Amino acid sequence: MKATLAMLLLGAISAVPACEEHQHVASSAAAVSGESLFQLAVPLTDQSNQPFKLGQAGKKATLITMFYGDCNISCPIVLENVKRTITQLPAAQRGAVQAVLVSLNPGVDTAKSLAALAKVHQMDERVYRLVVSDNDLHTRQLAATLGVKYRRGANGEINHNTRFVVLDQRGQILSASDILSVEPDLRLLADLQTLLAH
Amino acid sequence: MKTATACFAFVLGCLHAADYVPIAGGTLRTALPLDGETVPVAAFQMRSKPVTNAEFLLFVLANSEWQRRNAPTLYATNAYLSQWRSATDFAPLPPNAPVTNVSWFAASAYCASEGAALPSWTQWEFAAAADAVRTDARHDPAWRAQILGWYEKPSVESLPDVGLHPANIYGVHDLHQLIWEWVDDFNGLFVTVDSRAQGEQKVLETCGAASLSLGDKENYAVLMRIALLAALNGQDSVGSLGFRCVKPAQ
Repeated sequence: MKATLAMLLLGAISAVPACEEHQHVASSAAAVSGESLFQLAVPLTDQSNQPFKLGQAGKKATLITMFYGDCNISCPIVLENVKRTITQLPAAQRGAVQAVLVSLNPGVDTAKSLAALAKVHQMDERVYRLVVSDNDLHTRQLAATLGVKYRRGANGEINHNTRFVVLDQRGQILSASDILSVEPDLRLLADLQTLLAH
Repeated sequence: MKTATACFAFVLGCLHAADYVPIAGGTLRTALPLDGETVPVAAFQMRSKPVTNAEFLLFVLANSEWQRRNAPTLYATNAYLSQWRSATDFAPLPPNAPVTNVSWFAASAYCASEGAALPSWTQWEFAAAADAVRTDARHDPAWRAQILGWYEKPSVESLPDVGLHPANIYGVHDLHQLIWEWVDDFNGLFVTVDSRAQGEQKVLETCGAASLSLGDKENYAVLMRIALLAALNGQDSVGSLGFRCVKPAQ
């Protein structure tokens, strides 16, 4: 009986760190509600090495996709698609859009490499933000909310689907396209224009 | 009063601290090859049993943002914990039955609260390849038949308790024959080629012929798990889908 009690107490003492972790998580999480992607607490850094939060710019629309810097196959097409989508908007509407390109490759893509990529592709930072998170779990959380699937190969390549998502001013998904092409998806473009016209 | 409740939860949580067992790791012949038929799996620790209703209740009591009325739809659909009587009462379900109807986001947050994470697909597959005496029993037709037998049983209204099936060689229970389980990279399954081949990929994802790109085609039990997980969104909750967590090796 004594031995059992001692074991119980010992168990309680040795498990204290686990309980501290419980409380830490409880205090760091904020109360959020709804479908808005703006409530995502995933830490992101942009090409200017500044912390970035979805929705912070207060733009009328956000066009968001995921890619990675070393990708020579589909990613140049993804970048070109985003550029052409923005370019096809009337000039007066472009200022009301933020294009967010999120890296699938934290740890490899950095603010510096993203800045270089933005320069090569002539992406104006007032419109285009190339961002990367701090780890794979956070990246996967963002991907899961967008419907992006990806898998990392042993050789460093990342296999992923292509998805362009339009968020409205409240961070709700308004339109999405899975078509990989340098040309904009006309339905998504129309949805974006309708949103901006209102 | 608040302190008293916290202390109560604290003591319960500590006395029932989850049991993690070491898994040595090694080379896995995976059912989901990407580049090469095998993948290296580093040593890790795995929860010996899936997370139960009682354990998940402690989590939602300590983290009220994960109670079903508070969890945002971005992270959990209306089905989240819908079989519980209330946001903080799992009745009529038994305390030691595995918790199900939890979204990937909720499962992931639970594991983080234990200083752990959801297993990757290959970690789960590695642990689940074992039986009571072998680290890889998958080539044994009798073992496969036994697991497949689970799928033939009519589903029961209430899931049995965790830990009733014998442990495998690592001391892990219930990897088969009880529930489906979330993995960390559920949204990475089936993506076997780069997005140039997207048209073909889409066909494979929807027509069920995706096993063409899978290794180990005879292992239906594992393929069914992959198919289920690949069809899910992170917000989804399913009545037969629960989870367990893993930690780095000590």
